Amino acid sequence: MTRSLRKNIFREIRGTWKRFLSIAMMALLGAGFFAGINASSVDMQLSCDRYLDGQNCFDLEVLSTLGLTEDDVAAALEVKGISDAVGIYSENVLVSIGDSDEKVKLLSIPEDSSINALYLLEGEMAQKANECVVPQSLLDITGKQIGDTLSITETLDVDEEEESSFRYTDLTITGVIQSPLYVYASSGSNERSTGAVADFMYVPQSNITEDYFTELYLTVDGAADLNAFEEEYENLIDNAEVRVKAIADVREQARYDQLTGEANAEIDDAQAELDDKTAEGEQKLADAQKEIDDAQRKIDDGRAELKTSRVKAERQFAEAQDEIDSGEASLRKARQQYRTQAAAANKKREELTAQRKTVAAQLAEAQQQRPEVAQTAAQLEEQRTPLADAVAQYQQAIDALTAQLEEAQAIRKQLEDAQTGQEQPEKAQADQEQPEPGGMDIAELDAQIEQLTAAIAQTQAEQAGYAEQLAQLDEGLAQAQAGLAQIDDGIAQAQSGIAQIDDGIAQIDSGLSSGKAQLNAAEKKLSSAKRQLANARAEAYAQLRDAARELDDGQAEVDDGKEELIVQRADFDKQIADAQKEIEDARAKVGDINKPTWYVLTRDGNSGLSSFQQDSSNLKILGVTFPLIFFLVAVLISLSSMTRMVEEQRGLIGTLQALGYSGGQIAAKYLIYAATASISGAIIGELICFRVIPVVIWNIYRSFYHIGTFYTPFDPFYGTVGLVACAGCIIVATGAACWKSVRQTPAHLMRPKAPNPGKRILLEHITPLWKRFNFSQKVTLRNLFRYKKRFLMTVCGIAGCAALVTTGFGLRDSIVALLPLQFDNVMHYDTLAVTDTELSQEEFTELYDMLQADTAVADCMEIRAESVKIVTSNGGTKELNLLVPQEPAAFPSYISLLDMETEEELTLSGDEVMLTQQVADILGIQAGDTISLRREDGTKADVTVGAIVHNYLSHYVFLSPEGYEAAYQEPAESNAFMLNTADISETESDAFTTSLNRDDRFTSISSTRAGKEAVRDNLALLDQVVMILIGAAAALAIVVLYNLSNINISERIRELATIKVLGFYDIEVYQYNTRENIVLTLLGTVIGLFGGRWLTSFILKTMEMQGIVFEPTVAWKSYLLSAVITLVFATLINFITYFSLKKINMVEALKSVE
Amino acid sequence: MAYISFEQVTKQYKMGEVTIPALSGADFSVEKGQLAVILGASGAGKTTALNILGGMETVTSGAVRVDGRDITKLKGKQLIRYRREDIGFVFQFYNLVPNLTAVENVELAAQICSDSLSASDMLERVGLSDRMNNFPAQLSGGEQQRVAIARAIAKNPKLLLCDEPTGALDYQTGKQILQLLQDTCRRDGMTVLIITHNSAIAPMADVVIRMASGHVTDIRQNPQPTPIAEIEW
Repeated sequence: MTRSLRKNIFREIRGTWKRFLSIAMMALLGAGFFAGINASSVDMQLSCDRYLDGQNCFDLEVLSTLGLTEDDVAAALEVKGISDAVGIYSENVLVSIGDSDEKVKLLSIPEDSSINALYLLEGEMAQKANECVVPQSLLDITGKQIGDTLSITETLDVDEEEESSFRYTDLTITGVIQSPLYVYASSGSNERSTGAVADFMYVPQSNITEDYFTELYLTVDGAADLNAFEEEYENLIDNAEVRVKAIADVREQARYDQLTGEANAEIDDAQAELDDKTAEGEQKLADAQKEIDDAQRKIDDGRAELKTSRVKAERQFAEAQDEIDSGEASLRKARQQYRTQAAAANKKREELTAQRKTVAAQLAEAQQQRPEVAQTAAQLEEQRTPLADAVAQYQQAIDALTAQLEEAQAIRKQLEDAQTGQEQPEKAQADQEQPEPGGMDIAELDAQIEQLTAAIAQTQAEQAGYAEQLAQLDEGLAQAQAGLAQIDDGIAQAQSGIAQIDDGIAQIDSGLSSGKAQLNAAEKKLSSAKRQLANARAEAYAQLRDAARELDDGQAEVDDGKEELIVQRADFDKQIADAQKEIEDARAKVGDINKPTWYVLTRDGNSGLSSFQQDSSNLKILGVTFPLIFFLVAVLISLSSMTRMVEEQRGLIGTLQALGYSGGQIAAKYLIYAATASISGAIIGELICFRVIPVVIWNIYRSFYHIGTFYTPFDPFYGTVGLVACAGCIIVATGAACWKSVRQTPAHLMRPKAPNPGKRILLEHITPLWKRFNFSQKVTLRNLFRYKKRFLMTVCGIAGCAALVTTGFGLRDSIVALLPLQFDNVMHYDTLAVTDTELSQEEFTELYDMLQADTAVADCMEIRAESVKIVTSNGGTKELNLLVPQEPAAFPSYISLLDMETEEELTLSGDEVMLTQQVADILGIQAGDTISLRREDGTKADVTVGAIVHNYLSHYVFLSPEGYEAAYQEPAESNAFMLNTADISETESDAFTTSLNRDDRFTSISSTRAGKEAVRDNLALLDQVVMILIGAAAALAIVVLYNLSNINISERIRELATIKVLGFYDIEVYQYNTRENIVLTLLGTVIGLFGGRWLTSFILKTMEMQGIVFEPTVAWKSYLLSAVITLVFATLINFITYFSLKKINMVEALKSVE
Repeated sequence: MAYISFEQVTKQYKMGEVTIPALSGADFSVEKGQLAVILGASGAGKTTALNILGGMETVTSGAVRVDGRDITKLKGKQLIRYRREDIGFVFQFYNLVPNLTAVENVELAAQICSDSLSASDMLERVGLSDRMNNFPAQLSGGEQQRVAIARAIAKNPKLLLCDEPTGALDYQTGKQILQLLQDTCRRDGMTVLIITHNSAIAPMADVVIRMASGHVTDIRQNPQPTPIAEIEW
C-alpha cells in the first residue's frame, strides 16, 4: 500500500467521520452486546465459582434418613479423592417476628473445618455457644441488629418429648454473614418453592446437644481448580460421587445397628416398667371392686326387708278397705230405699201440692167473691140506716103520738075521772098538738084521741111501709151476711185444708230430710273411715318410700362407684394400652428403621446453586439471540454506507485504476476503512460492554444471589468471536459493495454515473389509483422503491427496534399472564398443608376436623402428596410432585385438569395418570404412553398416561386413589390437606397461615398467594429487562435512522439543495426528505411488532425455566406502547435530520455532479 | 430607479483564519425587462453576485435592491419566500430531480408558487410537449436544460437567474437555450440575468456587466442586442 493511499484513507476517515462513526457504532453495538451478554453469563459463573472456592464450598453432600456420625465422617475421609469432610447439624426452628413465627433453618458451624466457610460481611463470627450469626435478610425481617438477642423455638416432632437439641435458645447476634449454601437470597416473603425455609442462621457446634449430624459436606481433590459450571468439574464430581455412594451400604448398616441396638434396650426397659405399673394398677382396681360389691349386698338386703313390710301393710289396708266397701254397700242399699221412699213421698207431695193448688184456687176464688158479697152487705147496711132512721123517726113520731094519745086519753080519763083525770090527756095533748091542756073537753079529746089514733094509725102505716122495706132489706142483708159467713166459712175451711196439706207436705219433707240426714250421717261416717284408711296408707307408703329412697341413694352411690371404677378401669386400660402401643410403636419404629438410606448429592442438589446455574445459563441464549438482530442491522448499514461511499467515489476509483492501481489495492482502501471502523468500534464496544453489561445484568440478579464480589474480566473467547463476527460481517459487506465498482473499466467509472434513473413503479400503471395520489405522495412512493437497500435496512432496523421493545413488554406480559393462567385456570386451591408423616390416622382425622371447623377454611380435602421420579424408557428422569386426591370428583374445585388437546376438564379415575405439560414436553411423553414412577423409597410402578394437562408452574402427576393402590399395592394414605380459604381478608389469611405454620403437626404450609407474590416480585426484575431492551432498541433505532438520514442527505444533497433554491420552506424540505422515512418507519414498526411477538415466543421457549411454562402473550397495550416508543425514537432522529437539512448549503446545487 | 441594483456589495468568506473576499464593493443595476449578462473569469465574483441575488447567500455589507426591496435585509422565511416567489433559477447542470418526469419537475416548482403557470404550458413553450412524461435520464442535456428553464419560468418569477446555462451544452444546443432565454425576456418581459465566462454571448444582452476580482469593471448598455442566431463563438 502506498503512502498516499494510506493518507487518502485517513483523510477519507476525517472527511466522512459521520459514516465512519455510524459503522463503528454498529460494530460497537453488535460486538458489544454479543460479548457483553455472553460475558454476563460467564462472569456470573466465574464470580460464583470464585466465591464458592473462596468459601471452600462443598462438592458433595451426604444426607441420611437416620443422621450421620463421626464414624461416617471418618469413613468419608477414607474415600479416594475426598480431600475433606465435615458433619454439621441443622434443624428448622422458629424465630418470632412481630406476631408471627418465621421458620428458619439453623445450621451449626463446625469447630475445625473450613468447608462452607461463612462470608462475614459485618461484625464477628459466633464463637460462644450462645452466639449466632445471621444473613442480612433475617436482620431485615426481624428488625434486629448485631448485639441483639434472637430467641429460637424448636419445632419438636409431635410425639417426641425429647430434650432440646440446643443448649441455648436465646442467642446473641454477633455478625452478618453470607453462606455458600444459600447463594439464593430470600427476600422477605419470596419463597422459591413450597415449604421452603425463608431464612437461615448459624450457631457454633458447641450449642448443639445432639450426638449426630444431619448433613455431611465433602470436598473433592482438585475440584476447586476447576470452574464449577463446566463439564470437567461435573465429571470429576460424578466420579467422586460414585465412590462415596460405594461406601454407603456399609455405613448405613453400621448406623442401623447402632440405632436399633440402643432403641431396643430402651424399649425393653420401658416394657418392664409398664408391666410393673400394670400389676399395681390391677390390684388397686380389684380392691375398689370389692368395696363396691359389699355395699351392693347391704342394699339388696334392705330392699328385701322393705318388700316384706310393704306386703304386710298392704294386707291390713286391704282388710280395712273391705270393711269400708261393705259399709258402702249397705249405704248404697239404704240410699236405694230412701230413693224409693222419697219417690213415693214426692209423689204424694206432688198430689198434696196439686190439692193445695186446687184449694188455694178455691180459696183465691172465695177470697175474690168475698169482697163482692161484703160490698153488697155494706151497701145493704148503708141503705138500711136511713130506713132504720126513718122507722125510728116514725116510731118516735108514733111514740109521740101515742104519748099524746095516752095524754089525751089520760086527760079524758082524768076528765072522765074528773071527769076521771084531766092531766094526762092535757099532757098527752101537750105532747101531741100541744093542745091546750086545760082547754080541752072530752069530745075534743075524743076527737083529738081519734085524730091521734088516726095519725097514729097513719104513721104506723107509713112506718109499716118503711118497716116492710127495712125488713126486706134486713132479709137481703141477712142473706148477704149469710153468704159472707158462708164464704168466710169456705175460706176458713180452705185455709184449714191448705194448712192440713202444708202439714202433710211438711210431714213428707221432714220425713225425707230425716231420711237424707240419716243417709248423710252414714256417708260421713263411711268417708271418715275412708280418710282414716287413706291417711294410714299414705303414712305407711311414705315410710316405705323413704326407706326405698334411702336404698336408692345407697344404690346410686354404689352405681357411681361402679361407673367410676369402669372409667378408671378404662383409663387404666387405655393408659396401659397407650403405653403398650407406644412401646409397640417404638418397636415398630425400630422395626421400621429399615436401614437408613444415604443420599449423596452434588451441588445440583442445592436449590440456590442449581437455580443460579439455570439462570446464568439462560443468559447464554439471550447472548446469541439479541446480538443477531444487531449483527443483521450492522451488516445492512455498513453495506449501504459503503456502497454509497464507493459510488460517491467512482470517479476516484476510475482515476486510481487509470493511474494503474490494481482492483485489490483500490478495494483495500474501502476494506481498511470498514475494518478500521468496525474493529475499533467492536473493540471499544467490547471494552465498554464487558464491563457494563455484566454489571447491569448482575444488578438484576444481585438481589437474588449472594456470591460476594462480582468479577468482570475480559473474556478472550467471546471478545474474539464478537470482534471477528462483527467486523467480519461488515468487511464482507464492504467487499461486496466494492466488488462491483472495482471490476468496471476506468473510463466507465470516470464518467459521472448516470443518476439513478427515475423509473415508473408498478403502482403508476394502475392509473386510477396513481391519480389519486398527490404530487408529494407520488414522489415518496417512487423514492421508496428506488433505493431497495435502504428500504431493507430501514425496515430491518426499525423492525428490530420495535421487536426488541415488543419483546421486552411481551416477556413482562407473558409473566403477568402466568398468574391468571395458573391461579385462575388451573390451581384454585389456596393452601397446601403437608402433615407430619408420623401422624396417626386419628391425629390426621383430628386435624381434618379442626380445619373443617375453622372459619377461615371454606373447604378442604385430604390428599396424598409425594415426590416421585419419572423414569422413561429412554432413560430420561425428572422429579415431580405426585398428587392423589382422596375425592377425585371434588378435585376440580382445587385443581382443574384441563386436557392439552381438547381443553376439556377431566376427572381422575381408574389407573391412568395425568401428567403436566412441561414434563411431558421435556421427556417427549404423549397420552397413552407408559411411564415408570419411582417413589422416594425406591418402589417403582408402571402407569399409563391418560392425558397431558395444562399447568404452568412446577411439574405434577395426578393419580386417583384406586390407581395409586393398583400401582403400588398399598392404599394412598393421605398426608396433606388442600384448602380453599373462605372469603377472608389478607390479614386473616396471614393469621391463618401463621397458625398452621406454628402447628407442629404440619411440616409445610404453602399458600398460592405466596406463589403469586413471588411471581409479582419477579416483575420488578422484568421491568429492568424491559428497560435494557428498550435501551438496546433505542440504540438500534438511533443508529439505523441516523445512518439512513445521513445516507439520504448525502446522496441527494444536490436534489435537496435545488429544491431549497426553488424556494421550499425548511419544513417542506424536511417533509420531502422524511416522508419516505416515515413510511419505512411505520412499515418497520408493524413488522417489528410481529417480530417481537415471535421473538417473545422464541425467548420464552428457549429460556423456559425449570418448572415454569410461559404462554407467550403480548397485550394490545404493549403493542401500542412498543409502536409509540419506536415512533418516538424515529421522530427524535427525524428531528435531528431536520437540522441537518436546514444546514444544507444551497451552493451545493451549483456544483457539478462530482 | 433601477429594477435591480447592487450598491457597494461586499462579501467575504471566512475559511478558518483566512478571509477570502469574493465581492468587494460591486455596483451595478439592471432595468426591468432587460436581459443582462454578467461576464467574468472564474473567481471574479459573478457567481457570488448571482447567489446573493438569488437569495442563496447573504452579503457582508452593502445593499441589493430588487423591485425596490433591499433583499439583504430579508431573514429566514422571508428570504425563502423571496426565492419562492420572485426568483427563477437555471443551473449549469440543470439540477432536475431524477426521480420525477419532466412535467413533474416543472410541477415541483409550480406547486409551491401562488401565481404559477401551468406546467404543461411551460413545457410546450420550451418545445417539449412531447417529452413531458420522460424522466431526466431519458432526455438530452439541452432538453434537460429546457425543462429546467420551464421549471424556472413556471414560477412566474420577477427575475430569471441563469448560471452558465450553456456551460454543459454543446454549441448548437447552447444557442437554442440562449434563444429560449432571449425569447422569454422579449416575449414575456421577464428580467433575465445570465452569468457566463463566455464573452461571445455578450452581444445578445441589453446590458453587459463585466466583473473582475470582486469589482464591477464595466457596465455597458447595448441598445441593439444581436440576435442569437448571429452570434458565434
